[in-house]
Amino acid sequence: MSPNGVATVERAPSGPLTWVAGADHKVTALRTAVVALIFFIASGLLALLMRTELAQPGLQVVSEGTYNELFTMHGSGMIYLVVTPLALSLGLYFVPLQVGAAEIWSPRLALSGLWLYVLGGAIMFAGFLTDQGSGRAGWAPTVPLASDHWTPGIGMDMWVLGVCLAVLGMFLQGLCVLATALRERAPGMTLLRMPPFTWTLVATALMVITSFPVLIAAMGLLEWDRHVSPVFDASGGPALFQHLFWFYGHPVVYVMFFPFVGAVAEVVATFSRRRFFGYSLFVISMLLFAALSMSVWAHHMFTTGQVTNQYYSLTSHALIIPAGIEYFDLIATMIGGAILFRTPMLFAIGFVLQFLIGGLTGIIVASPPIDYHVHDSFFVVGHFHYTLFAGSVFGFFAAAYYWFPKVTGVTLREGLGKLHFWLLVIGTNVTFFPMFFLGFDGMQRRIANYPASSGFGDLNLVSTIGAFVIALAVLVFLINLWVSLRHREPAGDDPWEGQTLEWATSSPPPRFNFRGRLPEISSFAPLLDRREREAER
Amino acid sequence: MVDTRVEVQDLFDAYLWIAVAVAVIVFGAVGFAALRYRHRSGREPSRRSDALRAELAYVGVLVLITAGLVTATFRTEDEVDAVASDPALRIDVTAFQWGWTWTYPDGFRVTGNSESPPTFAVPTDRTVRFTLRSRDVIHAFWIPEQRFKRDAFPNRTTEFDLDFDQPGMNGGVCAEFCGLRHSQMSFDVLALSEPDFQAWLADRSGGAP
Amino acid sequence: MSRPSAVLAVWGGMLAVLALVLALWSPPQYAWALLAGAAIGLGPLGWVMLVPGGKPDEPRPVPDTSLPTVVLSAGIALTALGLAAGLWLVAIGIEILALGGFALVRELRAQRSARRS
Repeated sequence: MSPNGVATVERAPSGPLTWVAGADHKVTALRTAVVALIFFIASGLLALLMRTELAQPGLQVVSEGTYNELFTMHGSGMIYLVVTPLALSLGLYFVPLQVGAAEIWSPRLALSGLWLYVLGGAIMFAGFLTDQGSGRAGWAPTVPLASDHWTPGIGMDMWVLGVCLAVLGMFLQGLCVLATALRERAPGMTLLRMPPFTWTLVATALMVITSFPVLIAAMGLLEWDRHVSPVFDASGGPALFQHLFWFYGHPVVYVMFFPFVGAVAEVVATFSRRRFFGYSLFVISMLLFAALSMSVWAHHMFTTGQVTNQYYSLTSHALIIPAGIEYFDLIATMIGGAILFRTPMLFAIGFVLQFLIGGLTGIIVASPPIDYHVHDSFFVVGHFHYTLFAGSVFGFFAAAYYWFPKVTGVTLREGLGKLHFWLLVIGTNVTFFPMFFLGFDGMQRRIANYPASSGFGDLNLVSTIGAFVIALAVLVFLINLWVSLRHREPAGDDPWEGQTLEWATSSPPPRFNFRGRLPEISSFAPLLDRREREAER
Repeated sequence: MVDTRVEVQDLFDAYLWIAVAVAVIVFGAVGFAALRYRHRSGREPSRRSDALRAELAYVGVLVLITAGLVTATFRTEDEVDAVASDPALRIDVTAFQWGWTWTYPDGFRVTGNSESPPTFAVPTDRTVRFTLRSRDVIHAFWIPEQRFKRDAFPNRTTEFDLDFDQPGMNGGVCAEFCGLRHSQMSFDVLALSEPDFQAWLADRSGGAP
Repeated sequence: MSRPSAVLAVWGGMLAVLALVLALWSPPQYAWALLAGAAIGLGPLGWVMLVPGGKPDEPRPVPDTSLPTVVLSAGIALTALGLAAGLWLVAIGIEILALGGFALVRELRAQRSARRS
């Protein structure tokens, strides 16, 4: 029985039953993350194939039709099946711990979310086995292209339905995380004592529950259009689909970024050995950030000539304000700290510096006249890979190295971690920085090939070399996982002198997260408070 | 007359310099923190955890920067989106899987596709009004040299003006994924001085314009 | 208003303001309705998250495993796949869904009666 009062009605489960049907939020979160990492490797291999094709002008490796499947499944995999689930799985594991709860709000809903996601992803990828191939209209399809007339075949239907299932699964997990933060906090854990990471998950989940259902509706209508009766035939139909899609399509990229900025906030605070700076303004700015992100979606439609560009440009530019506040707080936490450059901190700093490039290029494309030039070009591909890969994925690795000891009871090796970091920094920047030049010079996205006369060959070759360095870095990470789990160097409860409640329990935590009484909760950094009080005695 | 190339390039350069300045400041601040505030034995981290007035002043600066960028953007956008009341030349552009057809004022058509990419001509020093549509799925008409693109939708037309400042060849591509041969949907736009343009028209259409 | 509902109300208010500005800026277009709908949607979603629940003094029952939930989810997935593959799979999917549903109801009832005893 935990301080927060839950009781189980069954005897403790074991073995395969736990793997399949375990309802402990930690088990659900872990399985979500493991499946996401498998999809990460699969989607990453697709990217390596794409980069191999693009390295030189001419079609050397795959046909155009196959290339269209590759970029569709790479993007779809990464967005629907990798980064979104990784982001929510962090919340699913750590929000209950950080707020002192014994369990998530509805373990069954979270569990069902996991399975809808796994099966949805499997159905999407199973499209590769069908006669006409997998989904091949991009991760963000347009109509009429995605209609049955222009993209026939059951593989495309499996893509549409698989996306619905996966997004529904993530909706349920987001709902659970939000409800936990709102109602399952331990006594003394007021809303304004929730750690910065938990607040980023609150902001994330608010976007999930309001925007993900719209995507499910859009995809449902698309499937209806494909097989029952036309939905998007009127002259305004294609634009309508884009409104419905991007109303989800913009918030989802913030869903894929906020939890990682939250993890980075915890890592920066912990490894600067200070509490996070500017907490109250940070909380308000995260909510503002999330609200604004719900209002900017048609900046993906600037070149259609069918939306009020100025409104969306204004709200998109306004994102400078909460983003700027975040950066101020992160850097101000470091200044005046006593910084330890362990692997989590390296990845956190990598996130801060590299995400910035993604954010700044994002402001550049928030200007419609500039977007008229760079929209649908490799400039945008560079922009979003800087936010999603150079940003969120680095943030994920910061979170992984930081929290791996808590989850497994074992530390990841520092040497391999640093090698992983430096290889990934080099690979990431070599792969994605050239894309800004390629795009600005006229290379469109989603093309299997470009002419030799374009002059795009050299930078594409450089980018491809970078992609293989990324692959090497990921391999080093996998090796680190393997070696660390075999070698098993015990981490203890609190290897980093953490500040938040998850470090006040064993590694891994027991079934109901805490044994005995929780430490006194006097702020968003209760363990730091306790250490400071003890130092004063 | 608006030169989209110059307008957009100037705006982009302004944004780029501001972005570079911000990046230098942030990288500098992080670098400073990393060097100056390394953990050293005996160093106690500061216990201060907010500076509300300073941070709010900083937010004020952010608001000003945002307002400045938005103002510059709105001004340029008004210029670039403007359509002349009486354009000198009207051209209908139809995009299709996987090529382009341009229809000049007297009905004369030039067409081409992925098998044989088309070359179109435009006059320099005259505002050209394009009316863009698609015959099938969404495409996008992009001339990188002009720093401009617009989407081509089925069942509706989109109008825009372009001015070609210098004579020369401009490449064009389709920039909205449109199916199998999306990467092969390129075209060329030859900007010619007025007499050369008239000669080109006469030559191609095989009769007086 | 409780503090948790205040969080939802504040955020919904931000969405409503953004929707209003959009509606005023571009009257004939419908896009503002998406934002307004999101703001309104927080009502029922908030209710689902915050209202139902056991008495605060009693420990809330949570399962260690829930196989019926997995079966129900698999049934939903198979039904969805059946929409592409054919009615035969929809039929199978609905049966599995129903099986999982019934088992889940039994599991919840058992949980409730175990809690009382």
